[in-house]
Amino acid sequence: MNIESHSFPHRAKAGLNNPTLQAALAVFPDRFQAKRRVSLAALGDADALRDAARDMKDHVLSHLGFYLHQFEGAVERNGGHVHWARDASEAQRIIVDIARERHAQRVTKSKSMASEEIHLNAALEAAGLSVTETDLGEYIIQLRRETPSHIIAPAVHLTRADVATTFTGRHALKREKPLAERSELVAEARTVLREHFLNADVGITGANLMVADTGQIALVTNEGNADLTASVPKTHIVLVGIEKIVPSWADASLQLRLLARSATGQPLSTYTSIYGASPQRDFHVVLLDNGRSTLLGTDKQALLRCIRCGACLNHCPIYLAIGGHAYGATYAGPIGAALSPALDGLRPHRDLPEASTLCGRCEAVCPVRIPLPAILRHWRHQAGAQKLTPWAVRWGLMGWRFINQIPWLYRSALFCARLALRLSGGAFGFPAPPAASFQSQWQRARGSQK
Amino acid sequence: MSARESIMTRLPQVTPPPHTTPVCGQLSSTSLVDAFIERAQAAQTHVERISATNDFSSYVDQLRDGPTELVVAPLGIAEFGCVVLIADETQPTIKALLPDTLIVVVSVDHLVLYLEDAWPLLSQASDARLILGPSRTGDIEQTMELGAHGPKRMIILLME
Repeated sequence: MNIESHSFPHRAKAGLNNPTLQAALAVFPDRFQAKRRVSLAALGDADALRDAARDMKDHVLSHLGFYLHQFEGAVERNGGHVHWARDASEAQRIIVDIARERHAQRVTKSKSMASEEIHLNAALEAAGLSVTETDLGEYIIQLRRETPSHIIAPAVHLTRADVATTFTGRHALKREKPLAERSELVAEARTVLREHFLNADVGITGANLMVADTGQIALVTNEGNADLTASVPKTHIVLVGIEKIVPSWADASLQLRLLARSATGQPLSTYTSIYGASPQRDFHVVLLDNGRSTLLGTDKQALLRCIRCGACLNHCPIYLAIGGHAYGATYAGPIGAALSPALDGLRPHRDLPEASTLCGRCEAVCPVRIPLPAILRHWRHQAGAQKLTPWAVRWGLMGWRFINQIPWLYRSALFCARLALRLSGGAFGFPAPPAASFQSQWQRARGSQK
Repeated sequence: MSARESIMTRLPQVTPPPHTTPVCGQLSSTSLVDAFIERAQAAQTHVERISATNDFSSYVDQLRDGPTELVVAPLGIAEFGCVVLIADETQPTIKALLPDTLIVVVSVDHLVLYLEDAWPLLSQASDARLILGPSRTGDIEQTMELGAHGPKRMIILLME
């Protein structure tokens, strides 16, 4: 995970002043929010399903060792391989070694947040492999050497003109006319990426879930890129967090019913792809811990229920104001603000828990009911206790508490503030206060009632 | 200590009690076939009802638009309007993914209501997929474009 959140205020300002990003975020309420609402309503009792999903995930986390062991046995029985990675560098090494042993040169990749987390592309390139992201959004940002700004919409901060410029600069193609329309951009990416798909030696995907009792993984896409990444090359490597396991197809079905609906409002993604080991496939699963196991049994364990749908981002007033890059971490939005300090430590991400109004919409829309506001409050408390909060804020809050505990001091401070506002005449962008304060109006109303 | 051991020591090892997740398919529509067609169409799939046959070549000729392939689906799931495809030697994954036009034959007798009904088939598979409509992307300006990497058109021939 990149440790860049210390420049959060700077990045947030950049997001607020980026007109392209602002235009993109402005349509989120109509796109993601409305579609999610309609699609969940069509499910009947969606809240009961969300309760069931929460309970299922809690059950898994309480028996995580058992289910991973079961999964490992099932994969190996069918001739596949399971690898365990404590951290990012171990996962990188395992994947590079698998590729080297097969004398691979070309790697295709289907979108995976876990691979962003461990900076896999840089490690593969350093090992001399050529890596191509195949999700269109990920491909675009790979060409631009950027990072995703949204879990499920990585290039949401770009316009078609940005994409046209990128493609024109990076694709050595003869075109009849300059790229302009979205359909032309999609068609060009289709042509270019098809060559990569058909010539890859190794395909790397993530997984939305692993089924413990059958040793299978499932992943969802709308483009079909995961299928071509996984099925065409001789070798398929799956990189997946240890928490993504479910006991059986009953649980997988529950998660699949909620995932796409919460993410894009589709009843199901266009492709739900299921892979397992077989004598015909060179199948590897890399189980990534990278800090996850340290959350088990703590008050932050609920973060491991996350199914990465992005609903908390799509409904967060702060995310919708500043966009994903402002967070400076692999995971943006409320889940990123709550998860990043848990995985990397609070110090590099101390500003992220403040990037919330604690309005509670994230928890209200979460398909597995992660108590995000409570976890963000916990981090704020920790930041104060560890003196990570800037001194001006800490002293300011202490002063505020002092004044609020002494009624006459509070009243005189209020009087001074009202006076200052009145005299400044809106000079600081604040409206002038009404003639009488709420408290004095309240006193007067009570007096007249008597 | 190996990575496996060192991770495993940090994880709860208790054997779980019998765990049941509620079977949660819900369908308000009364007719299986109608529900399937309605949901498939909602995902930009063209559905045609045909009579029983073993020769689909005339349909392929008639529906051909650019590179076209025809595959047979063992199941269709009414809950989503999707088809199930299991990859094998005769129908490798790329057959369904590479053409511009994908024609999928599914028999009405092979329509099921819920995802639950597809578990016996899915849990055996090492390379399978549920497909709901043509390939698509919303990655440029959040606007849906069909034919991202896979088919631009999808036609289901629903065979009596």
